[in-house]
Amino acid sequence: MTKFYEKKISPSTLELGFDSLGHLTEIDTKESVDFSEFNEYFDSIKNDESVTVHDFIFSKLIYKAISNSKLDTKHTFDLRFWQWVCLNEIKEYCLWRWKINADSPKKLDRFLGSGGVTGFSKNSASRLYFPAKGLLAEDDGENLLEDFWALTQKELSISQSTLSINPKIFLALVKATKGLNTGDTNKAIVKLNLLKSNLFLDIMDESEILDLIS
Amino acid sequence: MAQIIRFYKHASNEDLLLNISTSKEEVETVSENILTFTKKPSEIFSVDFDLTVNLEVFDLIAPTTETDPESSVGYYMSYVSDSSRQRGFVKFKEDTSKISLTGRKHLSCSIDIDPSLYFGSIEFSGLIVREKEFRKTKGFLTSKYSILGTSTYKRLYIDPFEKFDGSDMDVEFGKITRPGALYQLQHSNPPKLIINEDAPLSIKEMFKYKGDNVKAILRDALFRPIVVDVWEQLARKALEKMRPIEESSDLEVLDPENLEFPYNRVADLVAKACYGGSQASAVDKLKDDVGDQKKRLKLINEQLPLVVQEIADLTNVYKTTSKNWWK
Repeated sequence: MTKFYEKKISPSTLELGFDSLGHLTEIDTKESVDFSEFNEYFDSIKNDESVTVHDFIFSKLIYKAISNSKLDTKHTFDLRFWQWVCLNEIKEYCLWRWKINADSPKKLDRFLGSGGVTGFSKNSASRLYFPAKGLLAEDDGENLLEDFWALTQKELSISQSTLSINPKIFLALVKATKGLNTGDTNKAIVKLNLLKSNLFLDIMDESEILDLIS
Repeated sequence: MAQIIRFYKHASNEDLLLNISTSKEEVETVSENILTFTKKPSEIFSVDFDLTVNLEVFDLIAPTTETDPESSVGYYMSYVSDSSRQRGFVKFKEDTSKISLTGRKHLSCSIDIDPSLYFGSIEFSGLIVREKEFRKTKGFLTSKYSILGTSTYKRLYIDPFEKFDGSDMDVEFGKITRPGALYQLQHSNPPKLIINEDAPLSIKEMFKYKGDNVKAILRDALFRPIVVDVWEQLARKALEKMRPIEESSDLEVLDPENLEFPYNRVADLVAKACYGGSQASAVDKLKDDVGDQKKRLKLINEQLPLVVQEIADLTNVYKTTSKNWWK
């Protein structure tokens, strides 16, 4: 069964080592999410030194695993669930993706995330899930998702913006920055961030937001 | 929400008063703009909002050439919960049961909140938003969807608000990493102050002393610089946690609200102590300074060492001590 932790784990807990997780209370979601395809793909590429090129595939696989299950979607808004996934289902992937070892305790955040939208973008599993959820339902979703993961800076800039919680704004940002280099991507995001204090973006249609930043 | 410098006419939050209420008994007030559940609710609940708008504000926020500007706007309640990845809005309706003779309009709306979808807190604000555009006029926001006014932000904690004033921090004797040092702050959850168990006996006896005479006054005075230093260490850690993962000008600084406890409360306190004014504006200024390397270094190296002395009440503790011997 797939679970979540009773309490959100803080980095200081994890700094004591993975063994310290044994005493934490886990709660059953009453559903099973099958991460085997995700982990099989990981096994096939884990000797690859280049880690970022696989983000696109992992993003699709984690979304597929969760959407194919009967898991209540409320759990996807709960960082305790994503922490459990990282520390139990895809732990080896997390260690590999961020090259985490005993000398890099700060990177332990990648198992956890923290508060806020940045926290979801920091957690290794939720950072992969939400972009796929926001894009794959679109007609050209695969292309948009592949482009989104093509530039690390684009992924960071869009995912860490509080505006991107709104699916319409997220989609508009990805479409507006499709094919752009890092510099032009940043300009588009900065432009939208500047506009948000004067315009109520939440009530705008995706096409209207796209017009603003394109 | 970054600090906003506006170049357009904008309604002040005094012209747009937002009130928030819920029938749930387990909600208490933390401060003027903060409410908290004392226990995370288990069932869906309603939150009601009242918005009072000073209609005279349209003389300020709309061009004089625009006739009946009020008919071009809508009133919205915006809500954001970063820690739950939720944001949205509800349109206010005029509350005709409240008639004002003082040029004010009363509006109301409500939302149902499913606590299983929310974590941490939700921030609410009332907005005046243009629904019809007007021709471009210098100094005025005239395009469709322009925000012409924003109320004060209100926050409701679904997970109970945790207070931290430092006095409830654990202090204990134990091993520390440098045998010659006297104390070490352990950034555990919650943080803990460890006094070196190998310190000279007289020092340990002093810190253990439970009397309330002049020796206690002296003990408190000697302990106070440690308190100042602990506040500074906590504040530095909180500011470090507010910075985005990667250094980039367009990445957002974390709101204190999104830090783990007690660093969220430490950052709130540092913001208020550093900048004064309302809590929201103080936090906005702190986020601005943390996001700019030059300002951040000035804050940490020049301002913070003084601010923590005020937070720890150093002068008053020294005054209490010194007046026993030096009048």
